[in-house]
Amino acid sequence: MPDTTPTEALAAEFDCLMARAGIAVPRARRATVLAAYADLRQQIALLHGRYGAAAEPSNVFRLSPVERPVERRMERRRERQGEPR
Amino acid sequence: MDTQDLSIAAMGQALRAGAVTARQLARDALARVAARDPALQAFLLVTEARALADASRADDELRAGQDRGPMHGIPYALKDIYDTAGIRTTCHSKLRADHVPAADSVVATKLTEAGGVLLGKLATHEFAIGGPSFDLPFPPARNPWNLAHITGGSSSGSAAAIAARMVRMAMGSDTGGSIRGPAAWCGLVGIKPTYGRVSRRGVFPLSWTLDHCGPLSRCVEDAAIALQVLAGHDPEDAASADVPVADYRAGLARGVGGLRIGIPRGFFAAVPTAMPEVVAGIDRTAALLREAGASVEDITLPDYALFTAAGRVIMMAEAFAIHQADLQSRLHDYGEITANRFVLGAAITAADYINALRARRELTDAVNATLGRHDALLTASALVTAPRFDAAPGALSSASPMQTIPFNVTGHPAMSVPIGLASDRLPISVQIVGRPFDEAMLFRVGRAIEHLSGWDEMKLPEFAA
Repeated sequence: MPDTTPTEALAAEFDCLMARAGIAVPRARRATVLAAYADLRQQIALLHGRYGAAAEPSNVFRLSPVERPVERRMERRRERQGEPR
Repeated sequence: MDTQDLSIAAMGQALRAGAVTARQLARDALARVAARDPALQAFLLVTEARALADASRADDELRAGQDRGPMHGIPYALKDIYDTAGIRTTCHSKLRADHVPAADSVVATKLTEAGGVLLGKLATHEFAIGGPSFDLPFPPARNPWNLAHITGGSSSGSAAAIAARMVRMAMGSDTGGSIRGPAAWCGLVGIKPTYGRVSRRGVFPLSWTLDHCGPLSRCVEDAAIALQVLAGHDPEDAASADVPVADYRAGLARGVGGLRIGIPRGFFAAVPTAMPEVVAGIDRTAALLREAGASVEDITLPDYALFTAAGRVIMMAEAFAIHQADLQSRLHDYGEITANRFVLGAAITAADYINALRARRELTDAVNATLGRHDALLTASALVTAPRFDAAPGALSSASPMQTIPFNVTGHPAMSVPIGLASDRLPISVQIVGRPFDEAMLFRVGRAIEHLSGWDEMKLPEFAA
């Protein structure tokens, strides 16, 4: 596991983020959560600066997969009702 | 007839031959639960009356010539995040300790319609993430191979119940490895189907775009039978895919001759914390597959750390969105491990999340490209055997011993299959990964591994309470 000793700046950032989110981390747990936050920040750093503007996220979607099941259901309903396609 | 080691198919044959009744199967299973569960804590709730009613109905139907298929009359149990109409569904949490759903999850409905016999609701890590914990309304499940060791999570009760031979099949859910991890550490088969293959409707979410529903079971054939019942399109689940479902048992005996299998060795071979026995187990499995006629070769995938970074950011951000209000107002009602994990979601920015989704696209494309040249991938499920309770990690970290989350990120089907015992007498496993919606290939390769490794002759622990 990489060194994830939190710096003072990271600790201040963590406290600020928790306060902004309205989360009151109990004093007795702060060191544990802060160490996990330091580890998470190192993981997040792997994702930054990696992609250009053309690299789209996975949730960019197209409508056709949504349309097709709707069309199929309508076709099946027409078949059940004996209607022509 | 001793029914505890009968496969689902064998139970079905005995039922149809009149050698046993569904009611006897249910009574036998309930007796095993009563004897073994006090030490294992796999069940949060035993639904004895429901089980006997389901079983009586199954017997009546078979006598009347109505056969609902391979799960007809077979006992099963559900992880306690699956809604069950009129039956308490707690997510193993104080926050939902009294929650009684009005309707069944789609999975529960399908298993009922297939004639299954519901034995009860099973322990989980709190909200499928926080555990093993001793500060929750229910204790954590224990590993039947050694009670001092954890089962892995989050489908902890599902794995404990099957490994202790209380039930052949139980439902789990898998957001970062919660089916495959406990399966690996308890010597079971656990399949995370393709994203969209099994409806998630009525299952409490952890992370919408990573959550998968699937079975844990004693053997590959049991898993194939169970998934056959569960797979299929649900127009009311936004992620459900309208893709035809294959006959999962048709290829079980075909072997692996002519198949091309890739090993992403960079994922696991050089990790300092990996047990040498785990790496040797993968190498031994590769050799067995070669001897059986498969072409097995090392391949390269993107850096493993990128997969875990994307998965952790997506999971933390989506989970926080689900729990934000409760984390703000009643943090102390969560177990400490759960709370410590969930609050980190507050630290993830929109840019972090979107970059993780950009990584997901890149990584999915890379795995798809590799699977264009290979029928399946072979890799590790877990880098170590099940740790003791007093050595279980508390915080999620980049150093997780589980190697499962890459395929939650990409959505590819993946299955953990046991291959033997390590020197500590705990199970070790491998993970097989397939093309989208090609679960049949996982079952084919998995069945071959189960046979070639000799696991299908393995005796489960003689558990005594």
